[in-house]
Amino acid sequence: MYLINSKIKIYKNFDINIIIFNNYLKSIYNNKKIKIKIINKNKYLYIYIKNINNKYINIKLLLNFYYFNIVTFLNKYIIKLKIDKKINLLLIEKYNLYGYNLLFNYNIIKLIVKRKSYIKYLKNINKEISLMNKIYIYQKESRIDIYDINIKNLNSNNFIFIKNYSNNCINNIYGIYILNKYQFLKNKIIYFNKFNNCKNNQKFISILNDYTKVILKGIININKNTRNNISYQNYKNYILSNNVYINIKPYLNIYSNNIKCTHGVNMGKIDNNIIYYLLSRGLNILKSKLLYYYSILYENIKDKNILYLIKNKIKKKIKECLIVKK
Amino acid sequence: MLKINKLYTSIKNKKILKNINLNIKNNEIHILMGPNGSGKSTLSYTITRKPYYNIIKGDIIFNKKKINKLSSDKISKLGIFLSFQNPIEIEGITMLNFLKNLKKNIKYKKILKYSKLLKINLDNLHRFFNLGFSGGEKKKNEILQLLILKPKLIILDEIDSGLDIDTIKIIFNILNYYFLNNKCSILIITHNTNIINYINPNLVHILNKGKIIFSGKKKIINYIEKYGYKFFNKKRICI
Repeated sequence: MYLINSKIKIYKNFDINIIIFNNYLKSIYNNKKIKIKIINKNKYLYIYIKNINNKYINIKLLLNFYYFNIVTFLNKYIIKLKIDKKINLLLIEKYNLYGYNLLFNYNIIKLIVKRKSYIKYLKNINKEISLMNKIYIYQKESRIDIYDINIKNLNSNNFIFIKNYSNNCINNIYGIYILNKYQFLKNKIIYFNKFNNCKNNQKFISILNDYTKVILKGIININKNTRNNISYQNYKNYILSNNVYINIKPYLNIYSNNIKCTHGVNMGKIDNNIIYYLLSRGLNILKSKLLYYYSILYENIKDKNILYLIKNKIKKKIKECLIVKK
Repeated sequence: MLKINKLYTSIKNKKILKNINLNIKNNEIHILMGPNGSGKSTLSYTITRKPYYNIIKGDIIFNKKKINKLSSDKISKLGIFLSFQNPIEIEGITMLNFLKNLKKNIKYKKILKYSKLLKINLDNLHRFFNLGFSGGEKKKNEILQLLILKPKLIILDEIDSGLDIDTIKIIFNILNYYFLNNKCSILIITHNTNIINYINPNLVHILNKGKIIFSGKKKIINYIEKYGYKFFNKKRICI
């Protein structure tokens, strides 16, 4: 236990630190504008963040998962997060791995978001772990941006379920997947809408190399008698190797007439004209390819705070992909 | 500076250029004209070694160095700059970041200075590279890159197409200024016969069906304007 405690870090720039490992769930917070109610049972954590002033406040929350090879073969955590009105929340998942990565981990995160809140959720798997992740989102007149980033995961299986409970909901899902070697990714996203004036934007960009296997499925459900809903679903895939396996299924189940909806999948290699243009400006092949890939990925992350957090990791991973190829 | 000897080029086994001979000396301005599809852009791409533009025969020599088998980036580093007819758009990278990548230690002040010279809207520097830019703004960006890279040989592929008179004047004023202050040569590919109002070429070449059919002084542009390119097909030598 002492060994584990010595490795746990508390990040002071976050208002709420939630540390999760083995049978232990710990939460630390230091913001006077909010009130937090916590129920902590065995591998189950319920957190209710309450806004006291009824004014808009900014909060940073860190979900810090610790995995040690001494624990049993299955880790399962359930986290329920309830967020009050007028809260701008930056929610970040962080994974820390010590020891072997053969463990199978299972997380369930439930997000309940009240009116006029804005949640930025960074789901960044940058450790070599096998993970099954389920996220359920229930929102009312709020905005949620999910940044789903898979860089180092060994075997990850994600499921995101979004359900609106009122009009004027906005939710965006931006996926970035840079995979090589034998990485496996399975993603399923279900968007369920019964109300009016809602926006849903799903954009996924993947760069795949070696023997990676990717299965992506996105379902957009829009009910009868709804009006002015907008939904976009787009998958862009850049393939660097002939051994890559991709299976993508975009679905639209629309039962309403008054709606704007598009879905599409692009697959292929990089645009040689752009590479030639960059080469003709004196950049070498590696640098021009890197610049091109960064530009593709940064197109998907328009939030500067999020970009700052993951920029270097993405750069490292793309370099790794390209240099091995060379 | 640039010497092309008996150059034959093909794209996917289709012969485009046939027996091209061209000699551009130091501090010379050459103009290359010709009907659509005659191979003008192919020549510029062949010089800068675009993939799939294969050299069947012949040599391209730049500053006494054979550049047939060099890659595009090495050719650029030797000092050849190609301004594209249709500059590409890159979403995700700002103009300023792109320019900083082109040359190490380039200072922001210098970029600003060149941008003001070209009358580029400074907001454009913080926009994505060429994305949503007008034709004129894209061409100005090409010249901005030229000023940063300071090449020895400049190839301008239809730099004046789709531009208004004011923009053409700005671009050619800067080109003339650059030409006078740096030891360089320029090859201009164009359809515009009014180009002699803005720049003073040493030689004008006419390319047709992959061959340079005529080379002469700038007055031949008047004949092109009067009679078209057919005039030169009949092998009239005395102009």
